[in-house]
Amino acid sequence: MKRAFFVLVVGLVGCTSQPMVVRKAPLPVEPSSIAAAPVVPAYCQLDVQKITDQRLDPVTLGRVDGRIVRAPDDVRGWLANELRGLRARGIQVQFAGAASTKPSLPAVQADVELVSVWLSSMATTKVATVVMNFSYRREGRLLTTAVYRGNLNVVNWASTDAEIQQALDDAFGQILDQAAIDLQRMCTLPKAPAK
Amino acid sequence: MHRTLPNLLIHAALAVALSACSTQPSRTVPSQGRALSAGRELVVMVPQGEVDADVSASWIGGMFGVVGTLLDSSINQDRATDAENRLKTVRNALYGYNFDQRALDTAKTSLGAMKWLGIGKTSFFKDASPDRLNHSLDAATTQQAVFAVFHYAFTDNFNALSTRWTISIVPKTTARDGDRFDNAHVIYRQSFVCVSPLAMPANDAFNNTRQWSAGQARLARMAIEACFTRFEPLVRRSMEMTPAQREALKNGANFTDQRNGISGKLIEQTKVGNLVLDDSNRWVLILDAKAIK
Repeated sequence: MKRAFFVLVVGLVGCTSQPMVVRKAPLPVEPSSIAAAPVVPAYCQLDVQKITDQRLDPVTLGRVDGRIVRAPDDVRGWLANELRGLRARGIQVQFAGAASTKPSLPAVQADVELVSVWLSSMATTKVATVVMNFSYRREGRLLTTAVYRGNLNVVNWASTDAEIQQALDDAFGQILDQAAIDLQRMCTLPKAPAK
Repeated sequence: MHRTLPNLLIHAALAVALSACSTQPSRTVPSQGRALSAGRELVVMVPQGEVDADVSASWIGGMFGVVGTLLDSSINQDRATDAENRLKTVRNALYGYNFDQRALDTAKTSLGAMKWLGIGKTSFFKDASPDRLNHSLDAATTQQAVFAVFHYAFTDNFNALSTRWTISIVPKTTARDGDRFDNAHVIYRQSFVCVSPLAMPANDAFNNTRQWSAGQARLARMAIEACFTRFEPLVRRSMEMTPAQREALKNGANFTDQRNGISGKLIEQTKVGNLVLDDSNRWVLILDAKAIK
């Protein structure tokens, strides 16, 4: 009986969670999957002109099983790192201010806005949601705006840093998948004739 | 390490603790000494990302060992997935509606209109954890701070959308950090629930979601706004009551609304809807569907 009580107390204390700050860069892909994954040649370039954050509180990303999750201090740097994940989807990403060369690939410009990013849990499930708005332009002309939503709900095993980070990265990944599909279409659009 | 079982135990313990704490203190703000020369800082909190659904979690399996716990996990994940899928539609339709900003503006304007509160510096947070609450209170330069915590969610079958807020006035000068937000130490605390039901709800969540989402979530936007409009009159009335008036609320006629799962004492019945003091001492305004415009 005493032992059961001890196990319960240790279990409960073990669950008293410290706040977590998400990584500024997504988790590295498992080496085994890198070896297995085909290298995708870049067929399109995205020039990110501006990254903005619409949230009133840029610090808090939610709560998973009582554990507060916070954004890194450099939110723009964090978002830029997430956007770099487009490279694995065949999109070269360049950011305003970085030394740029004339793109050899078809290029689209975009302003990217973080609308919402939130982590929560319900009983034994955790939910990660990211909403971003992309305004795409080509040669100064607005092509389209798109709102992308990444939403993932998976079993919350132990509220560890790694599994929370993975859920968030996967939600960002869903957004990048949708953006890559749109970019593929936009990059193959014929350029507007020069006036 | 697999920690779902301890998680379940924690949730069960929390549920018991929360049910014990769910009865709100009956407080009014004494008319003498209401106004403070330095005024009060306001802290607004919205501890959620987007609109939620009140999904009831399954805990029954936990009583039957690991297999039961896994069964619970599976049931809960199915329920969460269903709710998230339905919410996705409404959330997409609600795109552009900034609940956080509206909550902040409503609290600032409405509480600011109550001159004796002397609302000054205002801050906003998504984190409503005890650490954050204590930190905000410590950082306040006034003797007391006003906390307004908002929440909005659909019922589990999406037949109603409720906007909730709890207002607390908390003094800085109390002994231990952890106790400062206890009901025993706050000067005032009241929870309000504004329920906006669908005029013609369907029996299933799918069709109700369609109603809420139609026309860029026109109904959902109106429902939330209808509740924000009632923020000031409800809060003012509750705060400025005399203790005798507050006590008299308990003598209202018995009221039960089975559809929305609300029971308590009827405070008043108007064209706007029914105002009820529910069994947990919350003020619940069930809007008449015609009043949502």
